[in-house]
Amino acid sequence: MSATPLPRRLSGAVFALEWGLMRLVALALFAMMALTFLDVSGRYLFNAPLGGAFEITELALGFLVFATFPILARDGRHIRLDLLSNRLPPRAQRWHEAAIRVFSGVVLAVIAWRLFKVAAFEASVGYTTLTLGLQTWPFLAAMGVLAALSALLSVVFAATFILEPGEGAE
Amino acid sequence: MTAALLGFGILLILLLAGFPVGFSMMAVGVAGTSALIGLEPALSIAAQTLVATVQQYELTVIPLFVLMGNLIASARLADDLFGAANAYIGHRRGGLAAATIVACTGFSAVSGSSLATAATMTRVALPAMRKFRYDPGFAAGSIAAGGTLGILIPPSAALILYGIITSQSIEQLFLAGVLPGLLGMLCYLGAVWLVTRRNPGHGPSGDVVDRAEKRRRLVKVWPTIALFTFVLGGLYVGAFAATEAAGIGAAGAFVIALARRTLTVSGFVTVLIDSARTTGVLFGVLIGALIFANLINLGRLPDLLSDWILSLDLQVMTVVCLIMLIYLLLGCLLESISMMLLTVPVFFPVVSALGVDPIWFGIVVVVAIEISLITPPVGMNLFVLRAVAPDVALSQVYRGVGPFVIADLVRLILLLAFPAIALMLPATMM
Amino acid sequence: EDYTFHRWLPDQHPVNARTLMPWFDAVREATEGRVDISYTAASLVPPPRQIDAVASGAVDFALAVHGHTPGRFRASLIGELPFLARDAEPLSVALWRTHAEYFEEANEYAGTKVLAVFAARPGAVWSHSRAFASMEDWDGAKVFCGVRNSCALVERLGAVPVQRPGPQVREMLEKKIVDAAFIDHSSYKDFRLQPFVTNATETPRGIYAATFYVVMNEDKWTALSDADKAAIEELAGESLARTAGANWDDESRIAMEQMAENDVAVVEASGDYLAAMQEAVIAPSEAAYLEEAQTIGVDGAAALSFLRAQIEEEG
Ligand code: NA
Ligand code: NA
Repeated sequence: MSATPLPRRLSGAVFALEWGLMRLVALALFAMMALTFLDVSGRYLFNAPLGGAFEITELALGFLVFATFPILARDGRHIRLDLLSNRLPPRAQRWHEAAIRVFSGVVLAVIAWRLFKVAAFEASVGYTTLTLGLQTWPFLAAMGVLAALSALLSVVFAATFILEPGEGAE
Repeated sequence: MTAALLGFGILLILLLAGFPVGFSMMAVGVAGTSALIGLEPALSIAAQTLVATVQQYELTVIPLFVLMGNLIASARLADDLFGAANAYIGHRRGGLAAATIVACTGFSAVSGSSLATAATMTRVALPAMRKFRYDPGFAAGSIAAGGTLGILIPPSAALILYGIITSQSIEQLFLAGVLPGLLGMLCYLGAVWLVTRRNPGHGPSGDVVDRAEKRRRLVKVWPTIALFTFVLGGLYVGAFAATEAAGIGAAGAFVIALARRTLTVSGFVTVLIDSARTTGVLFGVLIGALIFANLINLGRLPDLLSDWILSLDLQVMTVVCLIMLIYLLLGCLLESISMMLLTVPVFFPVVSALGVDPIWFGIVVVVAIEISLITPPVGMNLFVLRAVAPDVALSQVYRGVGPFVIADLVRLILLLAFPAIALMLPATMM
Repeated sequence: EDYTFHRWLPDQHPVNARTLMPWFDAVREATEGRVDISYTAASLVPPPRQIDAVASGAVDFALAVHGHTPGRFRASLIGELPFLARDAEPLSVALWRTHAEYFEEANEYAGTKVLAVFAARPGAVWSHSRAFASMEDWDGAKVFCGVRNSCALVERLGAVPVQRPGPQVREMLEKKIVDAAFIDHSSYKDFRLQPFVTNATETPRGIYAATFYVVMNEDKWTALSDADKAAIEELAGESLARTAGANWDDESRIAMEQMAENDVAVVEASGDYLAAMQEAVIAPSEAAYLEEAQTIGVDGAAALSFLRAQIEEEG
């Protein structure tokens, strides 16, 4: 299944975005590993666990999950069943792919909207994390931005399937 | 109840139409709950569920165990495992297939995912089996089946998720998975033996390896054993909590990969990114499943199902067998982890009410979803194999996997008949 | 009409089984079935977001813990101050009266009607292997604590706080990851800590407490008839706080009997040791509280002396 390539400038921007996000998720995951290791070894070797390390790990997980969504928007590697798609004629397959991405985009847009709403609310009541006392809203807002980006990219990639079939189309 | 059942119906249609599993469950879950409690409250609960899921401390183990498996794969321990198993049994009839099964078992002990196990072992074992002119379907079947062990032998992403949605101890589940995993290996070896007995041409003998070489290859397996012992042993004696074992295991795998000099900086970054992507994919499904579970719960489906089953006055074992049958049928169509996340919130309260041991039920559920990984038309391990080795026809893979599905069914029956196979080890823990 | 009460603790937890479920029955009876409350089938939102689920109308009622949302509650965190009371009943009644007298205006429970405020029996120190019988025993010990305020106490006593979500206390003690835990008496049996606790340290006035509140969606409350409102208010407020506190004390007595059966060695802190503990924690905790209360315009000092007077009167 091949799609029309994006226009060059847009493609460059998407590439830069994905490149940056991939480095950030790598960093987040490395931090999760290192913090857990330091927390446990600190506890045993130096009687000094990292206070609140687990809370940073939790926040890193939330960021990591949402930061992968814009990357997953491109290749559509979210888990799905491919029983139908392979049996469709090529033209219908492209519409099918586009429909799937528009559907994902709508769901992601709703997620982004609700995350912003929760972020605004938690900022207004002043929620903080339990142990480190960090404000919760910036993390929610960041997830909202990432969800919004994923929604946007899903729609952009949907368009690549239906606007003027690419040269490599089957 | 109507909203929940209708939700299941619409969800199934969306899934069969190829829509992403996670997003479909989110959309249907929110639509269904809004029919029950109104749109604004439904959206508000869904958002809370989402935030709570992606920031849940217990779930931080998922990316870390995935990372551990990927680091181990990049350290090329799978090659050593296969090399050692091959040295001892490769020269027998069907020996390479048997060595594949044994190496898969070893790799499963340090990897939390069946797909990673299948993908890694395809790269390692398929070229060798090709060289000795194994039947392509039989070769592919042995790898796909061996790969399923990844989610039963600890560490296991499936057992972690089961433990979290049912509030069961992850250590107990991990320990309970060990013997059924080894039993799976024995059943698969039995399948290899039977197939090559009937069709000797399917699995010709491999090279004979001399004693010094055997010893040399066996010694190379020690990092895998050390890591498994450290992580599971640490859990068993209580040096650290399950939530910490993943970080420790990943750090251990990192050290092994560094020591073996198989890891460059850019290679490490790639491993981190791949692990994060897998995590994103898993969480997409997990968030959807939990939002959909809200619909199931608000619709009181488990209560109603429990009442109905209790009113039928069935034997407990009959109920469990019926549930397993549902899993085997659904497993043909649904992806394994999504199937578990979708069904456990419905079935678990029912079997709990009947007094079924929750740890044992977790193990039989995971064995049932292991089978789903290799049953057509939707079997994720079969797809992985096809992706890594595109020249093997899917029809060949389907045929080759048949004997292993039968081996799995035998194991499932054994586990249903003798719960002690699963419960023996966790019982020694306290 | 049917109303939902959000469920996040198991049915058999004493606060559900002994306090809330009988209260639902009482409300149903007093309103002649017009207010029929039942639990949701499962937990829909995490423990720290109970009040939001009620305010948004997703559920009608919920029970929540003040300490779960430290940024939201400033004045109402008063019950978490150290060494307030030995028993839950006087503390609960005093907390409700203080809420009504001093905190109502601050509107910390926006979008909801507050039906009760109460406390668990102020907790002790639970440890395995050794007692915490002198200030030296605290030095560098690893102590489990659930929320920021109790972790601050651990630190002020010279120990190392190991901060984890509450239900993990069993695992942390079982694996000896911590030397001791800050937890209330009832949790000794509710979290099945029996095999992992050998020693307990008590004081004449507890050390710290977890405080709870019960809220109802404000729109649903406004929609009730005056007669139903009056009937519910009669059963809620001080009456519900008293019942909840008394039940917690009773559950704690059951736990203490179990402790005696299990030969848990109890140290009653007194004299110099108690004075040193109090000196280490009371002043800094109160100063921090008064400052927090100040930010929302509540006279924390007046509220605190009122609370103390009410505890004395009840105790
Ligand atoms: Na595994
Ligand atoms: Na299948």
